[in-house]
Amino acid sequence: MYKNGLSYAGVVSLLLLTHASMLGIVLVRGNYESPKDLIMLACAVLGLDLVGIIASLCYRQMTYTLDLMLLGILNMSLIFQSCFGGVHLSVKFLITCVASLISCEIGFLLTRNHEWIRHQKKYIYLVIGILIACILLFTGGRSMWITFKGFSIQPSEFIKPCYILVCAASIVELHKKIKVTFFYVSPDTLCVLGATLVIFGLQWWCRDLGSLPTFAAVFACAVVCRFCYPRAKISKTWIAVAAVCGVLVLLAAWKLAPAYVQERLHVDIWADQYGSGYQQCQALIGIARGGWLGLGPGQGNLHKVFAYESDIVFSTICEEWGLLYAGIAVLIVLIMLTTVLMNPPKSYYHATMTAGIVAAFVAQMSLNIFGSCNLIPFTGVTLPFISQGGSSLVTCGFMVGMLKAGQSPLFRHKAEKLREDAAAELPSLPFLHKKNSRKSLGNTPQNRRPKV
Amino acid sequence: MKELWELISGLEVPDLILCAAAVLILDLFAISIIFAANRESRLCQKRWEKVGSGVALRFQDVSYPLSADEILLGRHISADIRLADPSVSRYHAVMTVTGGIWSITDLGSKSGTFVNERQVQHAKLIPGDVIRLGSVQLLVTDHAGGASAHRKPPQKKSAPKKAAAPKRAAVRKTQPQKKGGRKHV
Repeated sequence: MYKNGLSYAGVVSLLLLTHASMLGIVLVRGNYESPKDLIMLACAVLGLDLVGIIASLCYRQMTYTLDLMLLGILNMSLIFQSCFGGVHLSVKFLITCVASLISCEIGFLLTRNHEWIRHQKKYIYLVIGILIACILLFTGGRSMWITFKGFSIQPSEFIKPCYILVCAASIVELHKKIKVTFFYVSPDTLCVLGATLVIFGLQWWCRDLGSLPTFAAVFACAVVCRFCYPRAKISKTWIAVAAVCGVLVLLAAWKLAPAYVQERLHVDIWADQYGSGYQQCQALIGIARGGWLGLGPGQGNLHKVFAYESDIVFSTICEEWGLLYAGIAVLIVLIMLTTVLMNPPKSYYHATMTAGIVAAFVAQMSLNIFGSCNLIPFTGVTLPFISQGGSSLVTCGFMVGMLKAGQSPLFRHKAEKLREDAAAELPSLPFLHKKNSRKSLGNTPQNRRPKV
Repeated sequence: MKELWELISGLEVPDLILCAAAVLILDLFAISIIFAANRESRLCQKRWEKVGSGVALRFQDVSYPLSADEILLGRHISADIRLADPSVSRYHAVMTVTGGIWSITDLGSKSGTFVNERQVQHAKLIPGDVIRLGSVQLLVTDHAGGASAHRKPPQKKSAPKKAAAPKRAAVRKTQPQKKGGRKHV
């Protein structure tokens, strides 16, 4: 449990104050028809805050900052999403936020024990296989979406945490190598490489190239962590070969990219304002129209543009809330990712997992924000935590749970049993038998240890 | 009630002041989170020391706290505790912690791994044990140097060239700590 209760209360107060100030802006500057809409929104936001805070206190953990930040960002997003095109509570987004918070706790509980997860690798591969089979069987052609009675999910989003988990869980098995023809290779590395090729191939086939950089960033982090892992004994030659292969793959992807991707790489959005550059033009105009302080919640025009709540959500927020507020909201997400650096993970499993998650979030945020601002080609990926989309938010929640697991890992599994075993084997351990340590010091160390 | 509502909504608060106040509160929240995360990291460090039973390795009056669940001992530059002695293999042995108990596993080294002068492939360690890798001897202590209370510090068989500073990996930081320096809590 958090030891300094006063500091925790201070952070919680500021969290509530942050949301209250946002609701204050909606009250004064918002575009709403009746106060009922605003009251419903306020009740939902503050209620979710209180429920989240109370729920996070219900069980013991070492870190609460990630919980609080997730709660803060999700409720900020709820206010943003509820104000687009006029203030009204977005019930769908509220339900998604609750699902995301639950998913965070599930992710935390499932991934905190590195020994346990190492033995569950086959099930993680199985889940990836099932998700890929679902995409191939139920999406109906080269698509990533499964639609059923107006309800749609994107299974490829759920592959992300699974892929990060297999990359992380396999790292500690790197020293176990088998000889294949002339080379000693790690079976786990081969499995991860196989999974990577299958996932990348699927993305390519489904024409979901926007998600490819995110997976590539996770893969790159996993490779770097493997190079840093001392027991892997990877030579400089292999590192050089991997670097050359990476460059070759990038060049091949650049050359072999489909026509519509090539077009996006070289499109002049201002020359084709009402064609392929429409969304980006409107997004940039929206940012300029909003200025530093924005037009006011619900006062913008970008809600008339396609994917205003997902792909160009940053511009929509800029237009209504101002560049200053949108920038700080993104900064809050970045701070959440950097807080994990203050407490470096204690195992390579948690380190690889943390690095992969941070890389995935940063890549996705960069693609969305810089794509909206026409600094890079527009890809159409969601902005983590802020864009609307159930699959994306639930996955983000799960990944924050994994980050939390890296901060509050479980190393003392079956500790008592192990201690008992050790005590039976080494009856003199002074730190195991504090009460009897004086007695045992006299005889056993000398019996057990020769003089050196 | 309706009149009160009209009064509130009719208030003309300058946009600049309102937005500045909201941004300031958001900034304060971010800063408080950073401070809280910093405090939590210290708490996690204390917990880790409990998990690792506060064990450290001592070599020539320099103490190396074991700050991760897996510590590689060897001559290679990537080793967590690098022992620049020719008798030590590049990847000599690895120390791991499970349930608060440290153990050492030989990684197929040429000169072997000895715990209290017995050659081992895998052995559990307690404070006071002496590990010998080639001609380099290391003493397992607690952070406060408690093992020296039980046993005398080991004598070097032949002085190695130099125990290089441990590798600073992104994952872990095995900081050398002079005996008698700041104690970890």
